[in-house]
Amino acid sequence: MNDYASLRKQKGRSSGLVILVVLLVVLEICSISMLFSQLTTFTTGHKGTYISLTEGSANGTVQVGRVDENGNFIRTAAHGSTMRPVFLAASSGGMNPVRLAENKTGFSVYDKDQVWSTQTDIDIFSVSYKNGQAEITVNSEKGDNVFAPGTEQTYEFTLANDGKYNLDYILTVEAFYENTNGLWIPIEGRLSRSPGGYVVGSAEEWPDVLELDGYREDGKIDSGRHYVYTLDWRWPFERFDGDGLDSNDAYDTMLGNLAVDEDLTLHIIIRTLACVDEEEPVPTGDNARLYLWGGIAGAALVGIVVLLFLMRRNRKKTDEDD
Amino acid sequence: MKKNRIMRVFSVLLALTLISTCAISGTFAKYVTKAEGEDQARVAKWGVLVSVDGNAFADKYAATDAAYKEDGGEYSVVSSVEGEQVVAPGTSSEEVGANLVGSVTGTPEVAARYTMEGSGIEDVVLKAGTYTDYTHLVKANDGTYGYTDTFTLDKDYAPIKWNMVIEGKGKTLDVATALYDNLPAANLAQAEAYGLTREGCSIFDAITIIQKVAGNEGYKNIVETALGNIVSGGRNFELEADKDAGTFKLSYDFDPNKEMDFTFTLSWAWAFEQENVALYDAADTYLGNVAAGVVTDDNASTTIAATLIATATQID
Repeated sequence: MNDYASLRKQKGRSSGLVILVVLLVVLEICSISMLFSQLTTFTTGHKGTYISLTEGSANGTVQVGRVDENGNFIRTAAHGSTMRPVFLAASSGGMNPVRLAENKTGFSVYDKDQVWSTQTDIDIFSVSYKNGQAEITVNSEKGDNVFAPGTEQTYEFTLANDGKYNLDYILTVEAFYENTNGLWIPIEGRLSRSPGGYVVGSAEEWPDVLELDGYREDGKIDSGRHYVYTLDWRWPFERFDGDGLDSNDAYDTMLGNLAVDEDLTLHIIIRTLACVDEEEPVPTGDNARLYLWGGIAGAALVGIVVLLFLMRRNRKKTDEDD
Repeated sequence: MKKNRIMRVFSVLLALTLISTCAISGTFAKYVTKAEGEDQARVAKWGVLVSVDGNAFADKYAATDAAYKEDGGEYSVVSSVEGEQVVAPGTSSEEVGANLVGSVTGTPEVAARYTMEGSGIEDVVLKAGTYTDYTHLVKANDGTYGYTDTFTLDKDYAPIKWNMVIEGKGKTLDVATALYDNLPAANLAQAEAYGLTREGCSIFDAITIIQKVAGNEGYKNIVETALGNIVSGGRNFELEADKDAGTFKLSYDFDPNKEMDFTFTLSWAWAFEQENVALYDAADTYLGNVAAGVVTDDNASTTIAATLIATATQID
């Protein structure tokens, strides 16, 4: 009788433990799903279609990876501290740019007309140019950008950190010609930063525009700060260097005549990449929710451990009773 | 068995908890933002071709006199030095097909200025004054013969008259005719006083007229309107001339992407006979004698020359 009562008591305990375990499992599942839902909301909550920062990836996918020491994005498996969700402030194929207000880093690059996304068409060059008398002296026949002797333009863009955290950033410039068959084009360029001054060229010196190519700036931009960059380029109307004015005029004319049949094109690409300063506290999204669901997950974990302990002790006791 | 299953569930839960914690802490660690701006441009097209072809003068000119030709005469004017170009009364550029033809073609993407500059100008001129008339051999009272008669020129005599014909868009503009057709009577009288004729004018007369036209908006508008009918897309016609320096400059501006496609033909003629036959025969003869070296006179110039440069230049 005592044995039967003891057995019933033990079964009752086991049933209670099972109920407890089920409860804990439910709590655990809830907490984990909520935590993951946080992650899901963060990465796919925007209504635009995202493209990966990894070049060549398809729209609508989210690539997870890390940024290497060269500033390149590397797709990685999800492990360790290098795993980072990539905020995709980009659209493509004529879609409206995703608002950078969604950018959790608070980092943005913009000019007087637009906020940059990825592969943003910016206005370093123009379709037409006016002289000092406001007369159009250069105008593209096809409506595409052109340059010619005597043309010049200034392009200003701003790197801004409107977020809470200090950021590391990388700015690179790529400049190259296309279809020129090695012919030199007398375009000069320089780049300056405010605050900071010229980073390529100087107030007096106009280097060849290709000297912008390969420029790289690794810097920090504190919260609330912004840097204004000014890219100037020009094709001097008259050049007295080298073999003299007449020879230089002849060379410019040759280029203009070649341009009738061939597009002698200059490309300038400015890339920026920013991430939270390594020494900064980690921005973890909505802390209140994370604490809540994290707490539940933690409690469930503790419960599981306790249960494990109780069940082990129960089984041991049963074995001893047997 | 039941307990083992529970254990397995627990183990899975434990693993899930650990993984989720790592994953969440890791994935929320950093944000990376990338922005990229790109632009490109090409060299603007030029492709303007300018040419000046032809040789305005020749070293011999075919005869027009029927009797002379019938008698086997082929050329009525032939230079004593082969290849050395000459002019004489009755010769013209059309006669030898030696018109000076300039052309410009192209549709540049930059504003362009077409300029024609003349410099180093010399002309056959006998300045105003009184000269020996070599057309009359006069017998003196002592029975000897000599050139004792004289003739007087009230103004400089430049016998070679130039004209320009501009062609474009299938239309033709004869400059001398256009001036006669468009200038108000008072202005035309002024131009004629400067040497304009229906056949054109001498180089220096042209320079004088250009100077007057350049300084008169009314003249300039007439010329620009007439030019605009032939050469579409052009504007801002400008003229400059300096008679003392022997230079002139005409320019015409074209906006980007305006087609530049016109030709101009410069022609000249030295009339065999002119209105006042006796006077101008005497003047022509005097010039011929100076050219032959039998008469020396600093007031007579027997060389005609000019350097003509046509240019298309980008406007800044």
